Amino acid sequence: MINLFLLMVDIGTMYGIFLILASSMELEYGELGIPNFGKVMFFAAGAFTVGALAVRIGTWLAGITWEGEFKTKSILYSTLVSRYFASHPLDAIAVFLFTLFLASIMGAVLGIVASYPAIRLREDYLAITLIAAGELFRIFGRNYDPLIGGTMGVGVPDVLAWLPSGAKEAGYILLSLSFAAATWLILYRLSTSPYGRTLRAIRDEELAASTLGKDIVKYRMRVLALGSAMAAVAGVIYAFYMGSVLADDFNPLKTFLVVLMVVLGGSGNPFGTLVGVAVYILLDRTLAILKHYVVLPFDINYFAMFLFGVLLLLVLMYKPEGIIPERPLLTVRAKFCRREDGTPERKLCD
Amino acid sequence: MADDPLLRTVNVKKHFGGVVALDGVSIDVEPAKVTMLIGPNGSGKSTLINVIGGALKPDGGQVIYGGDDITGLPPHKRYALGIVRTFQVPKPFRSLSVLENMLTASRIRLDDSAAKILFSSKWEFEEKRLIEKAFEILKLLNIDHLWDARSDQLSGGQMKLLEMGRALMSDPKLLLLDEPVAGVNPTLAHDIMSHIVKLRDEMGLTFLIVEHRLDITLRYVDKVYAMHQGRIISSGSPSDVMSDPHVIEAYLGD
Repeated sequence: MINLFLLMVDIGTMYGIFLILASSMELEYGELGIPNFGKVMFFAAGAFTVGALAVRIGTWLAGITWEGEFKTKSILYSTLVSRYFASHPLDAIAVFLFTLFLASIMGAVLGIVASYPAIRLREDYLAITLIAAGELFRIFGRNYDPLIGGTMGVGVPDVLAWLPSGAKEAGYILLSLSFAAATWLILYRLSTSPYGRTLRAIRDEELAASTLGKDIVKYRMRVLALGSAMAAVAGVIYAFYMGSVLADDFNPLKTFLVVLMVVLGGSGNPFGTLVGVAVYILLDRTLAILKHYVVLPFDINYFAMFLFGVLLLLVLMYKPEGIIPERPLLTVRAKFCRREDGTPERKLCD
Repeated sequence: MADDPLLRTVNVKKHFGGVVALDGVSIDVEPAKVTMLIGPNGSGKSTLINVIGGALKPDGGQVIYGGDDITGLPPHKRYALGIVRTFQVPKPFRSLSVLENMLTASRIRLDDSAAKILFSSKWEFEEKRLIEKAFEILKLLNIDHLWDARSDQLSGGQMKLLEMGRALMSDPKLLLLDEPVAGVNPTLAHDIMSHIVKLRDEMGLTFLIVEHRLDITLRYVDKVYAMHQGRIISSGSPSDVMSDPHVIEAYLGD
């Protein structure tokens, strides 16, 4: 039988994590037009930071002496550290905040590095370069054992271990959704401001934007830094929620799913991002549950991939603007008056 | 010719592969004057505008603005100096409304820092002032009723007007207009040209215009350069240039 509570926890937490990723993709791709097909790299940067540091700092705080290889012993030690965290909440919070801080810096720096090809390469070449960079990141993590335990993965201590069971799971939802809300609000505020207007102007007509004084290099660099820091935050929450980090989990498919959510919801509209992530998560979870009830001659997880691929094709063919299409946004929310006959009055209404 | 030129190109050269587009072009654009470039198709007028605006780097020669060499500056830095251009094929920000297109061009920068947007709402007041200003310019160009339309739904002529509006919104010193009245009806075209003259006289703005519709534009301009095959073949007052046999030959000949 399905545990409804755990299902809700899973849906809520994953919604938050993917909303952060999709918001960063919407900012970079939907608003500024950079096809960041290396999104998973910045997500991984956050998760890898947690994987590499959380258990090490935890053992140091708990005064545990490490014996044996990192690769084989990290799961064991992360359990010990979790037990220590259960009685030392402040240490746990410190580890969370420290890794979060470090990961967002890592993300931002990687984003700035990625902006160098983003300034010089044409869209399609940039997409290829970023996919390759993401793969490089994953393969490095997989093969360099001291980082995150290579093919074995690494254990991540539970930073909410000090909460009673039940409250702990709710804590992860709350953590994930509050970071997601903050990220989305940043996206929304920027999108409906002169800043977002300039991003769209650059996306629509680069040359015209630069002749009207916009420093395109600067905008690309800053948006990639911000978007990548957001993705790294998603990686941090993901790592702590999952309780482990495995390099091979960060494959290009993750990027593809985020693109799917943004395009499905409506690229260029922050509300589309909210909807796109919801549609994906609900479909994905429904299929996961159906797995228990429907007997198919193949694994239903593969069917999910097939379904999402077809869905993306259908959206691109029949409704390329997505569920909630982009609209011209008036940055000042003050409404414009309209006369009786519907023609706009040239005045701001109060 | 007492004033020093505001803009000067010195022996500017540009070639695309084997095709020579500009073959040593030197022109002077005097302040608070309307200077016009004419010439048959392919004579290099738009290439020259692109070089002056910063969209193309010349292969040789210099662009001097207010005494400084700006040959290597990117377009956004030329904007900072007061040089703003329009395009032969209009380039509106197509997903933005007409009003938002206008606001994007403003010299008062509300978009220079994401942090300022996130942690303060001062820009909303500034923005309302800019909207008033944008409406004044739109009204002047007779497209204020379209303020709410997506800019890609405008006609070609309306897009031209919007580009002009954006350029004016940016409080420029030197305006480079690439075919400002192409596709605009004759009445409005005359209005635009008179308006250009008005801006020259009242605000002291300097114009460099490329235009094919000589019947409409010639009477408004102070100085004409005629180009042919990447070279200046004649310059002077409109009547002098139009009676120059070289110019007549370039338009009719070979």
